[in-house]
Amino acid sequence: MNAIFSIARTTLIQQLRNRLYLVIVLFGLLMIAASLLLGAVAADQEIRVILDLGLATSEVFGLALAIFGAVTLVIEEMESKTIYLILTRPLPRAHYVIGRFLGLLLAVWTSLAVMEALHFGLLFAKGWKADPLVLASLPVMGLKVMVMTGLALLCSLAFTSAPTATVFSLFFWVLGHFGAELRFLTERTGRAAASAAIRLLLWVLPNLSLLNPRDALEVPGFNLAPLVWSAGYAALYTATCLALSIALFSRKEF
Amino acid sequence: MTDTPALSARDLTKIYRRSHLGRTRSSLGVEGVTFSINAGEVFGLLGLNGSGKTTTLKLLLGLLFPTRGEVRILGAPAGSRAVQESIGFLPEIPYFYKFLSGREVLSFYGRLSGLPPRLLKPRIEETLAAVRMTENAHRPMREYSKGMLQRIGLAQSMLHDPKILIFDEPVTGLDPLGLREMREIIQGLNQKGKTVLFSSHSISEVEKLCHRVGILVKGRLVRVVERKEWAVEHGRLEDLFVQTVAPDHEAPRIGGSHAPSVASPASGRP
Repeated sequence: MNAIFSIARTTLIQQLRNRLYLVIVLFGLLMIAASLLLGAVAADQEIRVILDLGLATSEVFGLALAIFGAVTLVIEEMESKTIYLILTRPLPRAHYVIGRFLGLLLAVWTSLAVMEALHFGLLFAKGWKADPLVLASLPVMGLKVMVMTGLALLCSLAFTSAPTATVFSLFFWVLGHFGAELRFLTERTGRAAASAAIRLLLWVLPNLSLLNPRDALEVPGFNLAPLVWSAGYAALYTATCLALSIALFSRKEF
Repeated sequence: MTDTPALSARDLTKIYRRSHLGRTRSSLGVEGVTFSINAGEVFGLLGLNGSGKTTTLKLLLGLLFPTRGEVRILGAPAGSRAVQESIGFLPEIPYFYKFLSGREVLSFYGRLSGLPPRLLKPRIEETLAAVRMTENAHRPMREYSKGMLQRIGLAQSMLHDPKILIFDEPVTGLDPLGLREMREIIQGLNQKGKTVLFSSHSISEVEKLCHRVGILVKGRLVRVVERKEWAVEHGRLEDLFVQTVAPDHEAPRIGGSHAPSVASPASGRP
């Protein structure tokens, strides 16, 4: 456990001192601040615009950090050979993968916290009254980022090329939001093979519509109970990605 | 020195297989490498570029998996936790996180090596002093020179007081003073009873430090030479090495009608 903590801590420091990380967070903050301008244009919907734009910005920039961070997390270390001095220490390779994942996830969650602090600061300054459903959407956004971090890490170990892993991660992220449409396709397609292929894809893809906080906000009478199911699903999906990542990493040579 | 093997390799073979667009290409890393190193011994691996020195070290360290053969370190298979605890490794060029300082790097590796927190700080300071890096330990690694990186690399390998030290080309790129210090450190480690295995191109360093030397040629360990075989005369190890790696080698002739004339102090030319 000590090794996992040490690797996670170093990964967190690495991310927080990384220029790309800082630039993405800075742009996120600028985008959130810019929502004030768009809100001013939208007259009576000002708070609504700031709320939606802020949440969307945090999610997109958080996902960018998660995907770009995860695809380079191990590949970069293999290329820079810093991994030699880690894997020759008395620690199981699984601890290395888990430590790197946790460190990155903490860094991405930190960025979300910073962006959302500004976002909610602006909302309160405009007279917004705290809505528990909106606040509940924040941890769900964190879960979505967690799922994508695990999936992008798996892609990076499966494809061993950062650009390929990025493309596949983005592909999974986009398709992950279209689970309902894909299910509709399986019912409509007349071909058994196509239907089986789509079903298989549905099993592999993360069901990100379960983790879409802004959708939840639109449902009248929505309660928090489904969020527990979402959390369980996100934890299980991420754990599966990590288990597969560990299996791939254990077979790697350096 | 005792007769108990600290490290042994039997029939160690590594064939690299690389697949690209459905085609698999194989290349030989090492083949049938068999040797053992006694506890407290300094063993050198000599060979030309691409002879398999680094591959052999990586197989011993568990960074590569052997295609065939077996490695045992202190009686246990390579890669096991007990084995990793007893090994310190210095790669050819030590690669570190550039965003950390020298002291932070040692703290990180110390924790990974399982050093208890109460021992970590004093051990870091002790090791920094041993490699003469105390004054620069607060600076980020990106500001370090090659020699300073090598010293921190050496420090991280000794930090957890391992029984066996494996160094890959430890003297490459060092200035004369750095070379001397590296030699003194390796000798000091050996005097403390540590087993040292290192690969090198520098025959003069190997000659000064090693009890025995293995010579690798095209992935095969073709000869193991003992100190008594080269200690008889200066430059003997180089001759043995050249005879082994290039039996048909002839010294280039400098002379004849096209040879440049060399002015001697007695020639009277300005």
